[in-house]
Amino acid sequence: MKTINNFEEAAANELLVNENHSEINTTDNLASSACLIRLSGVHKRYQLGKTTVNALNGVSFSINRGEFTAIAGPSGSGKTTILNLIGCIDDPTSGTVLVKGKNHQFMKDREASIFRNQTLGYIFQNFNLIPVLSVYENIEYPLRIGKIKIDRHTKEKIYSLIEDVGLSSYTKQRPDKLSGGQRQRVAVARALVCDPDIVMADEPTANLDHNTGLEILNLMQKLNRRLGTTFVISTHSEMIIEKSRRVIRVLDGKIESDTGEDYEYQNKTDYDTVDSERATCSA
Amino acid sequence: MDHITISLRNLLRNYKRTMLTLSVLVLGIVGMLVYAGYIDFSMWGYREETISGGLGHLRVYHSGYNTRGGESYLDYLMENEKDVYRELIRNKGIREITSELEINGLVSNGNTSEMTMSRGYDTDSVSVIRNSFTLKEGSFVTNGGTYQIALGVLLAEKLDARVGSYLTYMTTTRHGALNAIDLEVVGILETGLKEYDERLSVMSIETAKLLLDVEAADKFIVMLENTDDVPAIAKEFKKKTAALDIEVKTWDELAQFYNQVKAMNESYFLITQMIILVIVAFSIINTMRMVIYERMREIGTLRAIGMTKTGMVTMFMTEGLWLGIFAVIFGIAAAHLVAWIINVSGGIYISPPPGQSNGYHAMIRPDMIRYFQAAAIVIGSTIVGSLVPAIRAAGLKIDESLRYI
Ligand SMILES: Nc1ncnc2c1ncn2[C@@H]1O[C@H](COP(=O)(O)OP(=O)(O)OP(=O)(O)O)[C@@H](O)[C@H]1O
Ligand SMILES: [Mg+2]
Repeated sequence: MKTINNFEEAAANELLVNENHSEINTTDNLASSACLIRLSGVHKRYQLGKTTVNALNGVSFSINRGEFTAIAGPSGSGKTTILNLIGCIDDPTSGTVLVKGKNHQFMKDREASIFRNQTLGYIFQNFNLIPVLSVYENIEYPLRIGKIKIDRHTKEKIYSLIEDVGLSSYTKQRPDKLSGGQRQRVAVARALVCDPDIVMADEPTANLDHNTGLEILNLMQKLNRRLGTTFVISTHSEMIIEKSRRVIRVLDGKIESDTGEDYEYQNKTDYDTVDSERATCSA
Repeated sequence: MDHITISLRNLLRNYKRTMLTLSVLVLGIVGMLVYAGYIDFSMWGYREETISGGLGHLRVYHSGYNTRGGESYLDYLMENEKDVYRELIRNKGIREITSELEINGLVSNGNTSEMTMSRGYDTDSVSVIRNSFTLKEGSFVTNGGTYQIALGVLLAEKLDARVGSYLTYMTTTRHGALNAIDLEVVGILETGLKEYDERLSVMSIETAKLLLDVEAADKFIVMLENTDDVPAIAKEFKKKTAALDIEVKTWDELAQFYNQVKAMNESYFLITQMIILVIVAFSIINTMRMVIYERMREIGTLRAIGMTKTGMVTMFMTEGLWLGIFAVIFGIAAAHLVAWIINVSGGIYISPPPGQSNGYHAMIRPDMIRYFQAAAIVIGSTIVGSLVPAIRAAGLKIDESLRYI
């Protein structure tokens, strides 16, 4: 009798999973664990006319909540591709990518959009600010997209973010009046405004000079420490690589080396609500 | 920062292109409305000409005259014409009421006989009838002018008749007897239409009654002060005379040719509207396509930070819609201005239409309904025109649009 019950339960669970693909509740309960990002056996192929480009060839790694990870590698090695997969703006050809326990491949556009809006922040090499919006409006815009009511509280939050990135006297400025470094600061604030779990930065310093790049890096590290936001940064820059606590090197779509998950850091932080016995990705 | 403000700012961002697109749309609207205003002016002129040229605003008959009358129309004369007249004249907005009796017969000069279609009319109030022809020679049939006739110019030629000639008019009376009266030719008339000029003659209604041996007219022709009052007065009059066994026809029920010309013009106008609709839609599609290529990375960014496909479609549609709204505002204003300038400067000279000897100056007649139509068409086509590129933008792959340089 019991076995039948179990069997029925399993079948029911399977049904549940089938009904709601995006929420894959595996035994290690990814959604609530410290493990935020998990790539397993990820391949990505692009079709360029008749030739197939193998951008990723079996990539597997995990990133825990609160980590500050650099993805390093030469041009064309697959860094942006990895970031796009984590950022839920692209899907693997095979293998799975789980972000906060969810698989983007099974989400409908609406769900994916809300997920990106609330869980993920993006920083781009070219800043990608909205030119017709002021600094303040650019930072506020993700909240508007997420249909979050802009009240006194949210406004205060936006202004304090602007202060964090040091642009208090530029709030009404349009992006074209700002320097590259200032633009990237706006982008950093914009990426953080919805309190995301993860911020993705694709070569955030590539268009900046060394010192400005360093400032942006310091800013991101400061925010990582203070807010506990997980940062994943793709880069060529040795400076970033040196300063990142974890470095994943990719070459020709494969992981070449990985300095390993950063448990130590996690234990030192006070932001993480997960218990001390929390499951990390490798647990 | 809602879609409305953002799309407005985006339009201003590339205001040269916006202006270019707008001017295409504005030109389309101006073309459409000025053309419509010209058609409306000519149709309005033609309408008034038709009405004052003999048709009248209303025609009142004994009931059955139009449906069963035909050959035996003499069985449907208005025996109670005095009562009907009394009711008619009570209405406000009436300028003139004329009674008429149609009569067909042969006119002869002794050597040749010609068929003629004659109209016997009330010589006391004749402006309606008089406007149907121009007098070439002599005078109209005068008051109390029994035994007078005026002939169409070609009919007069065939009969070799001129002012002062006498002709014999022959017809059958209501009861089938042959009747003939000698009539003096007092005038030569011209309508401009060969068919009429060959057959037409007019006489006083008294003469016509005498020839047909009847006591009544077959219709009243009613002229109103204002053509726009026709529906109201017709309705009122039908109500009041329900007991009198008569039927009332309005000018537009009778003006078949006018209605055909109007329908033809409307179909031409429909074609221009279609052409303009296509131009508007294509210029919007084209503009929005350029916009999308220009903002490729912006689209990727917005999608990455959480804008849904629907949000993306709405954003671009709003932008297209703004273009449409501005085009409508500027377009209608410009069309109004152009119409005003044309009218103030005396209109556009149009050379004589075939079969007529005088050209005329065309004016532009502005019409609210046309403005609304134009607005609806332009806004409609901007919606359609921006929908296509908007859906395309929403369907772009995010990673690809972010990689786009
Ligand atoms: N949309 C695409 N279509 C075809 N090939 C693509 C596409 N996107 C990426 N690739 C290819 O996939 C490979 C990995 O690209 P990716 O952009 O991830 O590299 P990267 O490490 O970010 O390089 P870079 O440092 O130059 O930014 C490259 O060979 C690239 O040409
Ligand atoms: Mg890259």
